[in-house]
Amino acid sequence: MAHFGARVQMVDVLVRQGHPGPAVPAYEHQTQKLADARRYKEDDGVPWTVLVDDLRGTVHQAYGALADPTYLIDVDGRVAFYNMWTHVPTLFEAVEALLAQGGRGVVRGGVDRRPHFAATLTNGWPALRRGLPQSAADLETSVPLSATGAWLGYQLRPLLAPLTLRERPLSPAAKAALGAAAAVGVLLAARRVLRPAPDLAPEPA
Amino acid sequence: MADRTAQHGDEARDARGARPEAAERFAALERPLDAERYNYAHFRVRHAASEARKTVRRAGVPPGERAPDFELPRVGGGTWRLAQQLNPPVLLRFGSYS
Repeated sequence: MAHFGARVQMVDVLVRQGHPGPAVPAYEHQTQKLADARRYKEDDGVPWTVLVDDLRGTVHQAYGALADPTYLIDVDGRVAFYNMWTHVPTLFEAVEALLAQGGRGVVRGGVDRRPHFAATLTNGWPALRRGLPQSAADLETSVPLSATGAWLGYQLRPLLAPLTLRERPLSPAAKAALGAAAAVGVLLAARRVLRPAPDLAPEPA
Repeated sequence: MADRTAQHGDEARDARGARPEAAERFAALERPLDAERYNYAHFRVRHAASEARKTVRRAGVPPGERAPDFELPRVGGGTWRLAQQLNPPVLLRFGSYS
């Protein structure tokens, strides 16, 4: 989003613990929340504004209380775009569209509800790791394979990140190329599986 | 929780429409949680299900509507109020430390 410079402001609101654990127990005091927000801003070197919601999540709940949403709010204070599961390339396009229409109005259909699992699986682990072992055990029990998937995705990050954590959307040409590459891969794999084993092949006449 | 969903799931989907009774129940489902229930100690199936339900139902502020104003403390000191910070446009993200 650095691309947009000062033409858009980014603001994070710290909400409840999503995946509590021994080192990150459910908040009981506002001071714990403030401390985590400070840690988040300092440890991750977050350059933009970080706010702290109250203990009962009043602002979070007023905005729907999803786990990881982003709203794009126009200069009149209205919702221009609601990205229910934060996805940077989607937001990139939304911001671009909003700036192109003078900072006002609804853009790109207004809502994106897709969960964008690929991005979550690539970068979800660092947050989950803070609450180990309980955070991963709880998540794995509630949504089987999701904690394992997040761990695996994080290990494969060098491979996946250029694709799943990109800032800009893929161009149609890049999408077509990826699709073609996947199709070729599937075909090659199928040929290998379906080819008869050499010792079972008929003897040449 | 699961029962209520099964019973009212379909009604809730079009509760913003013409059926006042369903709308009332829908509003009740949206009642804010108290601090204890909001800050759960364990992530459970019901929390995962609630995320899925909220996604399907488009919980949150619909596009075109006014974003609720708020003022919250900011890391580094002072407070930040939405209504005073509308230009340039704001990307407002909600997220957890864990």
